[in-house]
Amino acid sequence: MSLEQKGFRWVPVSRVLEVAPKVSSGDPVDQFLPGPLGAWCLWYVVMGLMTQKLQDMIVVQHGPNGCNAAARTFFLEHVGSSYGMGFPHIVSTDMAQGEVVLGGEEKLRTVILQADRDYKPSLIIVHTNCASGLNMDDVQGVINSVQGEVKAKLHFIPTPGFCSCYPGEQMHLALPQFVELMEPPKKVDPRAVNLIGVVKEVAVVRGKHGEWIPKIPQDSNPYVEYIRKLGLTFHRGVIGGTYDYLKTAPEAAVNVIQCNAWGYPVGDAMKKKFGTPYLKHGMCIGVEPTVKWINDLAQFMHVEKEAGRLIDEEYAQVKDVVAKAKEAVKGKVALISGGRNTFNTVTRSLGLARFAMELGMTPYIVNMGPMHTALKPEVVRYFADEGCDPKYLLGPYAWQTAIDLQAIMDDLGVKNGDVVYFPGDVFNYAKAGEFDPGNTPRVDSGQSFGRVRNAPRSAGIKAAGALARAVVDASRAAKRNSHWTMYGRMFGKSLDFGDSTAPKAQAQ
Amino acid sequence: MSLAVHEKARDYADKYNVCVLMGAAKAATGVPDTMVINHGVGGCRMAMEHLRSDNVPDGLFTPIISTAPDQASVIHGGGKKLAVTLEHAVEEAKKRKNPLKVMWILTSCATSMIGDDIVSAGKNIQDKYGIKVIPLDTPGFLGGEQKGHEKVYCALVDAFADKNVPKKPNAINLVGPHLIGSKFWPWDHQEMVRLLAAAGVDVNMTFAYKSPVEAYAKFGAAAANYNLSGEEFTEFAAVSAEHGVEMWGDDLVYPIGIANTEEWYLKIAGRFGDVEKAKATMKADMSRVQRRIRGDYNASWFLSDISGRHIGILGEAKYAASLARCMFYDFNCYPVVVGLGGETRAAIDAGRKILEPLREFCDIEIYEDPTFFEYGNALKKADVDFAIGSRYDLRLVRGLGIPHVSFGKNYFFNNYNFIPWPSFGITGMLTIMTELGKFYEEEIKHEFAGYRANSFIEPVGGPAAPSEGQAGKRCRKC
Repeated sequence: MSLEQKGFRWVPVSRVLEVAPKVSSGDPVDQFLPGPLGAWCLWYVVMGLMTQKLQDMIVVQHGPNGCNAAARTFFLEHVGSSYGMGFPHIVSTDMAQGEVVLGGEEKLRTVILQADRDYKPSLIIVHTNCASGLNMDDVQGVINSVQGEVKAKLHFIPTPGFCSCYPGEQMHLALPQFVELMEPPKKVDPRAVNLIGVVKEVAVVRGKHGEWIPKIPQDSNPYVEYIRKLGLTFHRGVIGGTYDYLKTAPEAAVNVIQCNAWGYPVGDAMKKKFGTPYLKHGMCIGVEPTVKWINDLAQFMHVEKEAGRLIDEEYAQVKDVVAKAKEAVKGKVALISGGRNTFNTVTRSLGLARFAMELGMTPYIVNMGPMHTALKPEVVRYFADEGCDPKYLLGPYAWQTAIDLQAIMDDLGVKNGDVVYFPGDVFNYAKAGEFDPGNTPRVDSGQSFGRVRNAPRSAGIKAAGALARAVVDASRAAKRNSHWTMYGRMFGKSLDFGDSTAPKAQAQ
Repeated sequence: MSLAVHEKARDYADKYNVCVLMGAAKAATGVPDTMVINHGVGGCRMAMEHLRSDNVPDGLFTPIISTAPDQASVIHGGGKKLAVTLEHAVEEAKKRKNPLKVMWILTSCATSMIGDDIVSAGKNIQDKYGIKVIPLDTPGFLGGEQKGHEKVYCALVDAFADKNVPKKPNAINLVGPHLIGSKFWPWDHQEMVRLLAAAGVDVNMTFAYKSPVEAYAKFGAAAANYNLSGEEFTEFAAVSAEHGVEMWGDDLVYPIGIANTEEWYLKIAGRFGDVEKAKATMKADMSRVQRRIRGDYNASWFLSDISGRHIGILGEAKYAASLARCMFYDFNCYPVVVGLGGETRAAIDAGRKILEPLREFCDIEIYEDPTFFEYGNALKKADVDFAIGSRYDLRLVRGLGIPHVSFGKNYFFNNYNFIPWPSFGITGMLTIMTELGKFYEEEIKHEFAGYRANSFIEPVGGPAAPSEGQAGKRCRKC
């Protein structure tokens, strides 16, 4: 059955914004995207990617303790471990059947008092789960009544899991509530710049217990470095740091963005509440978008000369390898996958598409969930305005089943040697003998936890150089047309005894 | 010498303990040729899929298909989503190599609270397709994972156990391998089965790990259920009693290390098998281990190096207590802080009982079901050389500047124990020594920061100040 017969068609990414149903509409969503919706839940994402980045707070989680452990099972530990965060203390009200039926407000009150007594934090963020979201406990009422009895500042951010399973929606729901923790500036420093849209890392060099330099550069590091090299002051990485650090963020003159999806909700909320402007560029994978990001900030702060010098210095280090990459892949197809089963990574996929275009390739985005995409409208529009509105395989992706890349290649009429594969997450597509780094260039930059010293990720001109190097390396590695990877052998031919004459492999 | 016990004095929880749904998912996906329908939100589904991954190595893959209700479903009811998902699951089942024998339906907090009728939904499918459907209400607010396992065990007995099977006095059922608390548990379970068989003990089946659905028919043939976890299974005990199967071995030490294995093996062989056969097996195993390490310079080096260290241990009560004894008896370490985790009083008491013989020989601060906060402070106060725990307390402990090695909890999540070798039994000592040896050498002794600070070649990016990758105390001006 062809992709068209399965209900798929190639459209510009921005078309999704026109055809996707409203997220809360129920049946239309089920028809648009049959099967389970999204992945993760509001609690996981907020706790794992937002709240745990604050250094001197604890969480009171109003729900069953199992939600605490479930979040720790992957998100909390994986993100926190890889990005150098301190251990998050989550105090659970351990909601049981009694509180579900009769209400858990009294228990919540007791636990807040005990948590303040035992942990002595400066900030307690109260999160809720499905059970406390449904039994209608008046959490804000409890907080209001108990605030006078505790030393910590109490702040409620609702996170019942069923409220949202799409990261784009989750960001809009929760990120502005962290802005609520910020205070009006006593004075605005005209040289100070915040980096907002910081995704997984904390972007804070000085931790609560000392200075810290990451073993592996993080995505935020180049942006922070650029701010400083322009002679400006890096003020705050949002979200991150201590409560005091976060609440003084509005003292900056401007916000610049690391990741658009994470940045815009914070930027909009800070603009509305404190009048802090933000600059639109983000997810700067490649030289050209990074140059735009630097110039935009430089113009805003009137440091154009410094910007010119900075760009020249940085570009000199990577221009040769970027030229080599262009030579290796010009005219090819960039197959960019949104993720084998999560269908997330919309912003990164678009960032990679923009980079592919910079190298002279034609990007095609596949396996990216249409609802996920539709729920990041400002991101899609930003890239489209920048001239990056690539072809996207729109379809039902029923039951979160990814489409095999070989079927997509057949549909596009291209062969292994015509494409470069950019996986978007874990579970890369591979089949030894058919589609493997041994015969198809694979550039691993999508999986955000796969951090290694010289690996390309994103952000900045040096990273563009690293990514270009990866493109060159992958192109050369694929020329062997044999000796498949272990990963590919798990799914395709397990052994071929040196025989590299499999029909599809000859396509190289 | 003493055992000081710190009991719980708070109303909150701050520990790693997954919920009823996760327990049910682990157990249900341990039954071959079944399928789990998770009538719950996306987050629960991801946790289930991760946590059940322990069952997958060596080929037991049980699909989990989710309904993933959203706000609209919570308001309007998720029955329609469930019905559609069940039909889809039947289609998926047709693609499988083996016929589907059971379809489980599990609820999460949200779908349980809105009262979706999983029983009727299941019955419709059962009537229409002749597939056995077992619906279980498993919201997280019912408690910890032990209850989820128990619900699955009881359901399996209710659905399949035959009351008229002949008794075998040397047969036992193993109960709760997922709850052992060792990250090597699949191989530990395998090793226990091997040792039991070698001592003439017949392992009738394991609840619920790899035993086929048909095996549950002969549940009643066993003389006892050997409760691996130490948790109290009240309902399952009652159901078992109806089949003349008693619960046994709740506070039996795990066979971690040599001394513990001797105690475990002789007790269990004495009750259900042949003690002489057990002794012969242990002699053969010891001989194998001796051949491997006698004269091995690295073994002597490591065993001398680690001796006399003060350590902290956090884990499931029976596991932490047994490991503490192993570290004391086999490695001459002093387990000065032991955190005993558990969902029921029985598990904590089992752990305390296992530690009791150490009372005369060392000072141990025992923390009953501690919070991470309590455990961290206890380690700091006790000034331990290193701590053994799981991935879930790694950041806590290393954040205090204390070396940490993970032995506990489930396989999932970066444990990378690809070699299918146990940590239990006498031969399991080779696993423990391998894990501890590498850890001790690299994480305790080696001075990583010094390598860079004292490098002859200029490090990439210039000299690091403060030490790369570590929390320093210097300010930027320094």
